[in-house]
Amino acid sequence: MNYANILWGAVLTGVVFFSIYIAYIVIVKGRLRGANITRELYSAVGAFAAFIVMMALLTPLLSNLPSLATPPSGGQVLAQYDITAAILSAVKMIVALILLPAEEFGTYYSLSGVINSVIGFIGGLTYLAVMVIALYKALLALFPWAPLFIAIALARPNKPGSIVLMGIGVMALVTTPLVGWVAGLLYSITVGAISSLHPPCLGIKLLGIAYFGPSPALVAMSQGVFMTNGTGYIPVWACEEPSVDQVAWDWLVLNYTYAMRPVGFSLLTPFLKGTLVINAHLPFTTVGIENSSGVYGAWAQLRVLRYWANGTGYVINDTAFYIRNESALFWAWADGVKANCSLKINEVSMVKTTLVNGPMVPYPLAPLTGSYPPGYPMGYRQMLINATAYNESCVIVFEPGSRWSGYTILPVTGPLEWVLAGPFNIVNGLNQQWGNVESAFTAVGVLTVAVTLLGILLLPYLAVGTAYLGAIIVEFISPLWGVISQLLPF
Amino acid sequence: MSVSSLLTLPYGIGIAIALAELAWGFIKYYLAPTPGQRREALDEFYGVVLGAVLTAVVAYYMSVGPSIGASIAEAMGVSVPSIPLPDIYSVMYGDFNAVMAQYIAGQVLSFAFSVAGAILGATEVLKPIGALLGSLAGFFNVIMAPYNRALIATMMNTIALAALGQVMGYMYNYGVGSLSVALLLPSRTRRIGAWLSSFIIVFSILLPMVVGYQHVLVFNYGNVLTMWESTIEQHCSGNPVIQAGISAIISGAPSWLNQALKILADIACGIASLPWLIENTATLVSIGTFNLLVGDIVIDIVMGIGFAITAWLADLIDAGARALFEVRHL
Repeated sequence: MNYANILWGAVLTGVVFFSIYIAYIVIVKGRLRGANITRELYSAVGAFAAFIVMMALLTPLLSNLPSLATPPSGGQVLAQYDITAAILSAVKMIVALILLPAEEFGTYYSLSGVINSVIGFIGGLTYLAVMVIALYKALLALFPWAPLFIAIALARPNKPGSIVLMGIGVMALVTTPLVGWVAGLLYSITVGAISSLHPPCLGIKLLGIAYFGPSPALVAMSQGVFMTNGTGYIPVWACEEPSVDQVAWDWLVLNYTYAMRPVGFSLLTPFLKGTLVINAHLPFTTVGIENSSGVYGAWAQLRVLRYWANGTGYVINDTAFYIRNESALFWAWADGVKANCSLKINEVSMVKTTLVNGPMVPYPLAPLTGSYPPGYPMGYRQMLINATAYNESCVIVFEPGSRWSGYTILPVTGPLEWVLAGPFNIVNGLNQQWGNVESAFTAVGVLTVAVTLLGILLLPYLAVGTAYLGAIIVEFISPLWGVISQLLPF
Repeated sequence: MSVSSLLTLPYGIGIAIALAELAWGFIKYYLAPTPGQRREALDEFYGVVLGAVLTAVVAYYMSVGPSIGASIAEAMGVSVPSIPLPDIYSVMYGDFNAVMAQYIAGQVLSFAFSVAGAILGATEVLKPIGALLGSLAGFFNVIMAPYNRALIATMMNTIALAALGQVMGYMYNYGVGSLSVALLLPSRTRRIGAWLSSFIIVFSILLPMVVGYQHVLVFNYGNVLTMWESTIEQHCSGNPVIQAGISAIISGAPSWLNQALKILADIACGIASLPWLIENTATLVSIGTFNLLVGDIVIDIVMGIGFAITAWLADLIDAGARALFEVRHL
């Protein structure tokens, strides 16, 4: 819409309308029918003058935006919504691909519900913002016509149609700037919110995981964290090459290598990025202290320091080692060590340890994605143990530390991490801000209704005022017209 | 306009009514028993002549109303076609069909994905594909949700405009415009005549203008789904592997299977280039949706104002007709 054209269209329409109306009163009613037109003429001329005055006041407003705010781009709001909603839906597809074949229906429907509610919220917000912007655009087109409607109503104030036109005119005058303000507010909130949700990239793929090493390991990647137990595929952003940052097992940092293998042909090829092969290990071969519920430590016999006649040593089970006529050096990651022979224990940090940061998922959703080990180890010491058993049998027992365990149902990586961290939190935050928007709407509604009603109630009094104005103009022009008509030859 | 066309509807009925008015004026004049009543009848006759002229030309006004409306819209910076009053219903019906077809096509597409997903998901081997198709329906619904809302609003507008168009079309065809002016002459029918005349004066221009605007909106933005599909088709037509695959599979297949496979291949291709698909869709859908919504609101407001002006003008016409046609008793 061209607002300058609309403005001049309104001016011309008003001038033409009042010219015809005044000519009708003077010629048809006055000259042809000989009726008394004084009051009607005063009202019409006064209303015309009021129209000119109002247009003169409004013209700079419209031609000099942003006295009235320029309408925000509703298309941009919708485009932002579509991009964010499309990525959220694509994540849902990926989640379905991972979870449904594994028959994790409950988890799928829970996460699907979360994603749907985020989409529903930003969809509702977007639609509201777009409708208000669209309304503002329509009102901006109506705004220059408001003086004409008011002037028409003032010209014949006692008619039902005039009351309606007065209402429309006043409402357009009052509502347009207010709706513009609300549209700007909603635009900032919506675009701000949705922009902050904007995903890092628009491509989502599944990355196959092949892990070789102590298990279950916690793998920290450039795009998130997952436990190797239960993980066949992880969702990743297609535009970023995934890299492995750390592999931890029982809070011990493992040495690792990784490589990307290209994807073979399958029906799901468009969704697959390839396979990430990770090989991880400790600097030496260890025995893990573990049972079906998890890992509780590890130890290794590093070397035999001394070996007497008939010396022997062997593993009894994952917590005990037997030596006789031997002196051996052990490394252990356990709560402690006991033996019935001489032990010399030094605490060391031969293997780097790490704290664990599980995925940053809001609490109610965290159990849906899997379970992760505690943040830090409890009851662990890293020890070098020198055990000597000369002419005696010695059983060295390693005492378990706290449990290391975890299982990934759904890897919170890349796009899923984005969905569960960003949008969820922002939507929660926006929910808290929603009161402000509601207050703004209420204020605008109440103000518009109040001013419109006031305008309608004041219509008769305003009409008297414009009639006086018309009387002054007519009485001023009449003598002039008398002089001019004397000078005219016809 | 030929002379013979003046004898057909709607001009013919206007001229016939005008002639009847003149005849009535003559009869009153010649049957007046006294010179005073004859002067009254003569005085009334001037008004009757004016009324007859208006009666005769109102059908012409109604026929040029659409082009006046188009010119006003053009002056306001909106280019709209000039749609004659009798054609408004069919134009709006066509637009409604076009918009409804897009809406239904979208829903069917989404339903087909869901059903295909459910069927394939029931098999062990194709469970991932089933899951994919099921959630693809959700994906499609989400990105098209604002557009679908805009389509519904547009459908409602086209229905309302078609209804008004049908009324105006009948009014035009059967000379109700002329009749409404004729009704202004007798004092008993002046009120209804004023309302009818006011409605015809306002809506002969306003309705074709609004309908033209709605038609342009539907023409430009009512087929986003089709545009979206053809954009994907164009994007994917350059993929020789997919093309070869489709040709190999569908040679000799029935046409419905051919089409279904093509759509599936397009979808697979679109998904394979997800970033392109999302950006393209967002641009296409957002522009169409926003313009349709703005248009819907503009039309709602303009129609409301049209009815208010009709009410205002009815009073003015009533008063004017009283001044023009009322007999002054001497």
